[in-house]
Amino acid sequence: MSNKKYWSSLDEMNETPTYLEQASKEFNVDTTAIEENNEVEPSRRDFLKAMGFSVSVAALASACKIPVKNAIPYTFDLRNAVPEIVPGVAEYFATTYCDGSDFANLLVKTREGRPIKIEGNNESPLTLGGTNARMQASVLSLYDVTRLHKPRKNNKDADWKTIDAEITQKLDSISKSGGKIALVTGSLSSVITKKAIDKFSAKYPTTTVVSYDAISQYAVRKANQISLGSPIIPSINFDKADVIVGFNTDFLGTGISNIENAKKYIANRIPTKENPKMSRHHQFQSTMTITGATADYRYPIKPSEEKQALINLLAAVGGSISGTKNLSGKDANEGIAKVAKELLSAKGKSVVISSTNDLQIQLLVNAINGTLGNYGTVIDTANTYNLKTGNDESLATLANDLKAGSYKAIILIGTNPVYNTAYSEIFKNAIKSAELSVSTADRPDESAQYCQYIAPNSHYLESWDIISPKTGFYGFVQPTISPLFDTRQTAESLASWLGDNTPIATVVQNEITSMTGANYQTAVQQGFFGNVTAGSGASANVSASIAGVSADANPAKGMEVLFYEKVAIGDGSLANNPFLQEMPDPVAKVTWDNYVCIPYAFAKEKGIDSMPSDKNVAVAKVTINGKSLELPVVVQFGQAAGTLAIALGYGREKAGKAGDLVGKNVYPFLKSSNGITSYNIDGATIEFISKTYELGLNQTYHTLMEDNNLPGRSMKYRGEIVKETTLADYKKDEHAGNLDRKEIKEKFSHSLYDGYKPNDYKQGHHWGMVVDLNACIGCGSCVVSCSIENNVPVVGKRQVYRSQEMQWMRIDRYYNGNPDNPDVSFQPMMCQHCNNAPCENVCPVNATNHSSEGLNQMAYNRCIGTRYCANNCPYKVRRFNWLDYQGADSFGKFNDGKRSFTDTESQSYMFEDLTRMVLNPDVVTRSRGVIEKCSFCVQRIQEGKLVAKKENRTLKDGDVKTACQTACPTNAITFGDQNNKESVVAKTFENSGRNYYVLEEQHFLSAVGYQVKVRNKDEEPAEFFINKPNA
Amino acid sequence: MASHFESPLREPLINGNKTYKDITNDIVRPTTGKIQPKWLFWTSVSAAVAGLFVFCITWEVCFGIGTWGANKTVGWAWDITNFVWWIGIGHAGTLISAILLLFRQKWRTGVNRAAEAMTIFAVICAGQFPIFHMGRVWDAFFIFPYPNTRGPLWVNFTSPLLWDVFAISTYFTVSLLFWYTGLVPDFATIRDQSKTKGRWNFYNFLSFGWIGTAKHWERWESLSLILAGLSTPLVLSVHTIVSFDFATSIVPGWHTTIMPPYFVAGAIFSGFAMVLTLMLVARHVMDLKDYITLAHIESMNKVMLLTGTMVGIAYLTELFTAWYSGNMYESYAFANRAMGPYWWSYFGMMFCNLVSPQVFWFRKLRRNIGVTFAMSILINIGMWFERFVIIVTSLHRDYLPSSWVYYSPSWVEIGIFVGTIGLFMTLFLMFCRFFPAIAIAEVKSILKVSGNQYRQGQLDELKDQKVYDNVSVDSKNWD
Repeated sequence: MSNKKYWSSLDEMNETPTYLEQASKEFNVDTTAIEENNEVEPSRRDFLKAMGFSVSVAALASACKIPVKNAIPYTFDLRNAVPEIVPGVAEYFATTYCDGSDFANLLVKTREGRPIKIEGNNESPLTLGGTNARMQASVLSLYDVTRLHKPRKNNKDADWKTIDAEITQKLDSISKSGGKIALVTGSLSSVITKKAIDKFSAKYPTTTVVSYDAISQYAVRKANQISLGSPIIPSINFDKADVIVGFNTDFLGTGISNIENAKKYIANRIPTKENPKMSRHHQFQSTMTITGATADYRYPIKPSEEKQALINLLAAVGGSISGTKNLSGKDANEGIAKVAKELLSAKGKSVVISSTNDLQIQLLVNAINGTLGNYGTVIDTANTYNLKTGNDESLATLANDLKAGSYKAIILIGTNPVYNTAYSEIFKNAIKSAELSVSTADRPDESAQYCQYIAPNSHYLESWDIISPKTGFYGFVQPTISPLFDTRQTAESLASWLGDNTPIATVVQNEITSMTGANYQTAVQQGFFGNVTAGSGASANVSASIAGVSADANPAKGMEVLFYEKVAIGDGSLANNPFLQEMPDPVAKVTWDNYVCIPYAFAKEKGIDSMPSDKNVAVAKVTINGKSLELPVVVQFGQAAGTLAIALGYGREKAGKAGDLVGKNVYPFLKSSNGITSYNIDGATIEFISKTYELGLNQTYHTLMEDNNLPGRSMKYRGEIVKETTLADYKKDEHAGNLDRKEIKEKFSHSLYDGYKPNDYKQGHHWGMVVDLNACIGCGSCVVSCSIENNVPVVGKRQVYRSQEMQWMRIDRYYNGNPDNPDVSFQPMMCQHCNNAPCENVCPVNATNHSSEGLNQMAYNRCIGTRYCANNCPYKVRRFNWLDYQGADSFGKFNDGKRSFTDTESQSYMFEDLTRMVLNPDVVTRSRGVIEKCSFCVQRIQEGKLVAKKENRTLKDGDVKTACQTACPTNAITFGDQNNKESVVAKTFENSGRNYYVLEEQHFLSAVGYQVKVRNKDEEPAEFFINKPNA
Repeated sequence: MASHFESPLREPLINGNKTYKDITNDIVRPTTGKIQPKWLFWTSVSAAVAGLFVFCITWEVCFGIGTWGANKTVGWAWDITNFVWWIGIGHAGTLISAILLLFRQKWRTGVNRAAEAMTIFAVICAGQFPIFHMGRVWDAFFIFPYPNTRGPLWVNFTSPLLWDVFAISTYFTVSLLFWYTGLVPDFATIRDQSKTKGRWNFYNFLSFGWIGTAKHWERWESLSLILAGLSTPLVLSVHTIVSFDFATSIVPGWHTTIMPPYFVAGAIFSGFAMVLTLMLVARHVMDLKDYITLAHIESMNKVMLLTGTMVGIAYLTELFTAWYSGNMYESYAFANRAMGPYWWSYFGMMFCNLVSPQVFWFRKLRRNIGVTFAMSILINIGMWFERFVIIVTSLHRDYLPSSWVYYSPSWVEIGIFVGTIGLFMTLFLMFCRFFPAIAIAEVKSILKVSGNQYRQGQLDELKDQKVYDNVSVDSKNWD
């Protein structure tokens, strides 16, 4: 390298200061404008930049005003404080539901400390994992804002200390002066409450404890007192019965411990190729219930004829009884003869049951069962129920005494006698005039509103308790959340009035520890303890039973009215639960109302079988004993001639927003015969008045009417939607009732396009579902479970009337045969996840599409709500968010029901912050204007996959269960992977002769396989058709 | 437009011995001068009804589609019924301006301007329904295939609704251009008649500074021809694509291959009916009897007779196919249309669309203003029923009887439909007031051929030449 210095200018050579300064800069230009912006005029570019920025900032700031919702992140290190709670991971607690009639061991799913879903406890030896609709919905009642937030004194908020002191003081003074205290309770199934009451009675010996059930089974206990020597309700092992004969009983839907019974019943009702056997179920009933709908043979009888029918049956099976007489219905007479024959051939393996609250009927039932030797095998008198412990006679006595004014204090333990007894006025006056009146109702209900003090009970999900549904078996109730409000359990309240302030948790723990064979730790883990070992027990004394039967003094006259219990609403105590109000009645498919059911023939005779529109029904004035009420009319197919039926549990006045003034209260019409509450009454008149009523009908039924019978149309059609066969045919051919499937498979599996190969989803998972129509009893548990799991909104009666309901899942009800006594089929219907889905290709924005696992999925955020997919869905399972139901609207809350002028448009049930706590955080709430539908519980699939992945294994069959599946009390629904050859779903699809797909010939390639319904009938069923009566 | 030979026996298309100046004056007159109280009254009424549209749409957007009677089974009801009805009405304009132009039907010149305007207003009304029937109208732009950062996430090109978007936006654009192109020289005519500076400027702007040079006319003619060529396929394609919304679905009663021709015929049918309704009123009110002659009315009635009968044949073919297919759902759908709870709409459709247009077999009735007006109204009603029958009665009872419902509209739906009629009438009345309702330049182009004085002259000439010996060449035949 040379040392020569090259230069290009003199300045450079001389290295002048000016030169050096310039050379130090990269660009030989004046950059002051760039460096010192403030000193020069802004350039054009600067101007544009500034303008662009300010315009976009202004646009951002002003255009999108989205309401800010503050939330506390659940991300700080909770694990030190509450190690059980991992954000985003559900925690399950074993607990127990019992309302005095329903019972189930449960698992309660909690997320971040709040209970959000009820599941059945599969470990339970009694209920084996099922739930019913009421249990599913009960989680929403926890967040019911109508519940009292504080104890009350004279209908004003008070505190526990004050009311405890005052109540104790008053009790003491009343007791000292010898004044009588009435303690009115419902069924006493709770060990803890029972003990608390016993202690209370011990301290205040003037106490009379009266236990009653709004819908009573007292006659069963009383009859068993005569027949068996003790007032018990025995267990019935339906699984061991080959012949089941029901008389006005709804043991599957509303009967005592109905989940347990449904499980047992269905165990002997599913024929398979290897074992084509099922029990035979006959049902004599006045109105149509799900039990009647599930029966193989059904005979409509009037309530007043039930006794005669039983006398005839008893005589026919060899009982020594006189007074047989033909029934009015020909079918029923033939039925008795047929049933008697079958019962005689199944001695010891059959059962006759009735839920009618009539002593003589129950005695006859006992006599028949005793004659047939069913005790010890099917009827287990060793395992008896502690449910339905109410005593009608003591209620009647109490009412008489109250009328006479002989009680100074009335304490209502979770009962509402002003509403749900026929002694409404007596209780009202007695409460008002009592020296002390206390209610433990959780809300100021019809009775509590008149009480001086309300000591609100906690919800069962906030409570500690021990429930004994059956002798020797206990359900453990543990809180899943600390009490939301300042409420206290009844047992705790009773104890504190006695001066005992032991925490209830300790009381429960001590109680369990003191019980033999019980372990507290096990109880907490399992949610139950004790045994349900099958016993046998004594048999009924037939002659004693028969001796108790006497001739009827007055034959029934006029219209007979049956007051019945609905599957969802029950006795009315759950009336403020909108999920239950909106659950359609399984048979009538009516939501949000009670109504008078009339027989089809009667409707035809009166000319009210056709209405201007399906949902505008006639109104009738029903007069019973001089009192009358107006009710909408529903034509109930299968209703016995000359009878009406009206549901109890409606017409609440102080239940809360959802329950108030829904339907009419018919408790005041109940009457007592010989001290036993009777749920049917004769001498009623019905008069149709010129009004129509907008009924929240979920599935129209007027389509069955003759006016809609299109002339000249063939009667036999649409047989491939619901398929059914008889057991006799099934035994001959496992494809019976499903013979067209072979042809469909051959004929309709071709494509016009050669070489076009649709995705068959043979890789990875391919989700599918099996629905067994034979197992489905139509109870609706799955419908409510689905709604709770998937945050499906409740829309209210008005919206249901407009057919804008949102339930993702429904149970279609189809009639078949003679409209006076049809066969009924239930068909759970949800998204079929078609592999050739008609909804997918019509969406203009690709908001619905198919996943690689065969799921038809919805991208809610992409949906613009054209509803084209819903139109093109052949199963009509897509649901549109017609209004904003849950406050998920991006525009703010237009539909919160707070504007009086929008009342006609919306009724909101999910806008309260507290109520919204029930929402499942794994499922988004959908905003107004988007389509939604069954997702096969994709969040559960995802959870199952993640668990399997963490455990480094493949998914096993049964790892993922949908919400409808887990809720089902009869295992009618099974979910699984079609590609897993070991799965129940794959095996059923592959091997079951009963398997078919709805509308298979349309080539939608549905992923839900239905199993042909098998009825255990001797003869061919009437030609199958839907919504078509015999002409 | 180059004139060509036309038989002198043909009826003249311009009555009243008009000169070019008369034509200019007659047609420009309604746009100048004082606003008539009659016009003001009807415009106010229409605007008030259009206000009802705004109110009902606001209500629906604020509270949700749940304010409608549409439901889980009947997802589309009055909304899409109205959409298809309005789109169908819009068809006449393009048919007249494009297809009849190509077929050299000179009689079109009298009615094409108003018909095209009607097309545009009808498409505007129609366009409201697909937009506002969306549950989330604020996300309506998702329907356009715009580049985005979400993947990019494209629209679903297999969805007929997307085809609708393209079909209707194209149709609207081309119709608007065609209409405006025709208006340019006429705006210049109005400008030239203007007495105030403001008016002059306004119409000069609208006419793009048209000065009527030969070059202008040449370019104008070529553009008209190009646009006519472009719109011709659109006449057939738009309603074909609208019919695909139904034809490509699986709903029994929708899924039929007859839909496209049947829809196109129906669209032209209803479009002509609406043109007649409006033209008969305009002819009367604006005193344009010399330009919209009985010859025009008779021609349009003939088209309605043809298309009405085509539609009727389609109705009967559908019934036959439903029966012949042996498909129980299909046959039920059609039996249900005729005999189900919506029998009255089927009856209304059959009577108004198939039976009643048969009166036009009689020349006397074709040329009777009263009968024509009554028929045009009947056909408008009948075509609305047709869409209602197709949409609602197919949907309300499809595959699973468990989901069958009876649909009735809510006040919001009725308000929106009535409101669009108000919107349409407001736009049309504004058009009549501010724009030349008849194409001045085009009418002038046929004056020398079809003006009655020239036609009479030709006839006289022919009489002298004794060309038609046996034919009575008497202009009385025209009436």
